[in-house]
Amino acid sequence: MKNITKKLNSPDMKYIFPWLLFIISFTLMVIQNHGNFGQRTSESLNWLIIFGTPYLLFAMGAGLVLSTGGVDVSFVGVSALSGVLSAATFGLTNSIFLSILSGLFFGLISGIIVGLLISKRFAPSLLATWAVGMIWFTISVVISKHIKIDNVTTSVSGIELINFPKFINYPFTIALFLFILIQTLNYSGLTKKTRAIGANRDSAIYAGVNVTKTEFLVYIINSLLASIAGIFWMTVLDRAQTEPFIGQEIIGIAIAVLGGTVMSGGYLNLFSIVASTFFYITLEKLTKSVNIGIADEQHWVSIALAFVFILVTLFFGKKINGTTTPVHIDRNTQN
Amino acid sequence: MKTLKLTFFLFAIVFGVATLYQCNNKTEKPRVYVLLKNIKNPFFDKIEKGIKSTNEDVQIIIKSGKNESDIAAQVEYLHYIANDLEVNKKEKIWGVIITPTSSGKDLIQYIRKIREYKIPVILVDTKIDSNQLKENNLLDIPFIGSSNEKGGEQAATLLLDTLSSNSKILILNGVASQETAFQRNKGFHNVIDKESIVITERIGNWSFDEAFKIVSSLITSGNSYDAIFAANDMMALGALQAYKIYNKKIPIIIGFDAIDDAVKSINNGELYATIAQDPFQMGKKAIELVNVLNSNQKLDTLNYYIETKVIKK
Repeated sequence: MKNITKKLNSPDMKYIFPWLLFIISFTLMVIQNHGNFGQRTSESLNWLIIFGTPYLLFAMGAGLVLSTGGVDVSFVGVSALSGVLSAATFGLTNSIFLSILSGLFFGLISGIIVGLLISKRFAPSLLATWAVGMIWFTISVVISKHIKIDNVTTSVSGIELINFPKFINYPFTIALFLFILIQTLNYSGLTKKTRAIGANRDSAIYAGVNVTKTEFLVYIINSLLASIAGIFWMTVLDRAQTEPFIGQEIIGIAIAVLGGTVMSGGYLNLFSIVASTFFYITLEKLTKSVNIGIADEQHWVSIALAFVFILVTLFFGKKINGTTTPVHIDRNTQN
Repeated sequence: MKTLKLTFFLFAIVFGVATLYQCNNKTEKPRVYVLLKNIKNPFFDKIEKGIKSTNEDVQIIIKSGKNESDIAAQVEYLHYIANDLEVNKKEKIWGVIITPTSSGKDLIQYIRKIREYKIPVILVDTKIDSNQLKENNLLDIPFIGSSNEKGGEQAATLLLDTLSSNSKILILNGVASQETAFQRNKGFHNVIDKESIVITERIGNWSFDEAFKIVSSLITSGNSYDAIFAANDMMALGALQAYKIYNKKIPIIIGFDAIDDAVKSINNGELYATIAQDPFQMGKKAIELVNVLNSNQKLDTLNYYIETKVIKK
């Protein structure tokens, strides 16, 4: 018993906790489904992959940045413009390779810009990334509105995608890709470095971590993950939307926090972010499919969703939170 | 680095001077402020084009919210216009055209302030609650739109022609606080409630993504529908995409607005029909009314309804 209590109170519990939440919510979802049990469960898993992938990519990127003690909210703008550029390239060239490359290349460029601003120019991360995201978002609208492609419907709302391969027909391949991506990030040692920076920047420097380079890399990876999300979502919808995730910056960050990432930095576990993403997506599906039976039920759905999160933080806040003890030393940021 | 900084500095100065010059030039023409719900919806894009088709020598300033329920953005813009009036007085502002994000009292106080300066205000597409207008002595504000209630009735009649009794229908509604959403829903119920049809309702907030999510969640939970009525085409297309993703048999889906994507989908045999509005004509009529009111002529009526029609393959 003592061992169990000790285990429950250990700091690592915050990484296990999201899995418990996910298992509970997924069980509820399966119970709520009606009809063929096997088919519904398989469709629900498919739902997790389709709707979970973009949020997981956002949350992983957000988690990486948060663990360094920074924040990046440009990912919504990056994903919108990556999708639009990919769709436009595909419409103009009919090349899948060039289409994906253009989206990823833009992600890389955006990451370099944000990385330079924050790691080299010491810009406040929230302000800089918000401004950059807004610019990308506006450019995506302008491109969609003015571009003309033969036989493709383009409008301010986005660009149509015709005959692009459907990645979502291969959910297990997507799951495998995500698994490999997470493992690569874990084994590269990047997450260890970001946590070290977030826990105590000066200690990280003394421990031999190249803080500037790591931060720069983290923002590039975050942008690349966002552009993958944008391209993926474009293939799901068969169109590049100009506002697919607008206003959802906070959700990406919230999922990362629910997954044990601490906003002041120092804590990160990518697998527990997977669990918290699945929990959020399952909860969203549950609330959207349940018929509450009143006219403006969608508002109640939002309230229900928020209420669950309040309950989670109320009862398990300590479990998902964590504290680091930064040592505040005034230093010359130029060095 | 110094050269880079200098380049940025020079660029900022040139950009600033150019902007000021442009602003200075533009202020010579009277301004028409156009507050659209969301410029990223092609429907409002067409309203904008209709407004810009005017021959009058005015400067048209388009303002748009982040989404179609972004009341805060319209409040902010109206507040700005009211302030602009206090500073520049009437001669600089030719009129204000609004597609209201709220039919309640959210925008009323600012509209009243603008009307105090005798500036023409025109409502397009979405009405504001008549009780609110009456309380604020604003019943003389013209409205241009489609007969949304009639459009809803047309959609329901079309569905009843193809469905049998006890069929299941999913209704995807727009933003709950907006008169347009209410009228379309009301019109649909006027006809459909007379028959024994099983109805499920959800609010898709006029959004493709939201409708896609809702319909995906419903059909993967074991629900099935014989028909879907979406209160706009973006939601209809979102619902259609959900069926395509899960390889389910596509039910009869009817949208509203007749945007290009929807008409193309109808021609491809995917969407069943859409109720067509004419947003270009709405925009054109709105700017015409601004010009008429500025020339102190009287209007024939305060409600201008552009006919809706069914478009199907």
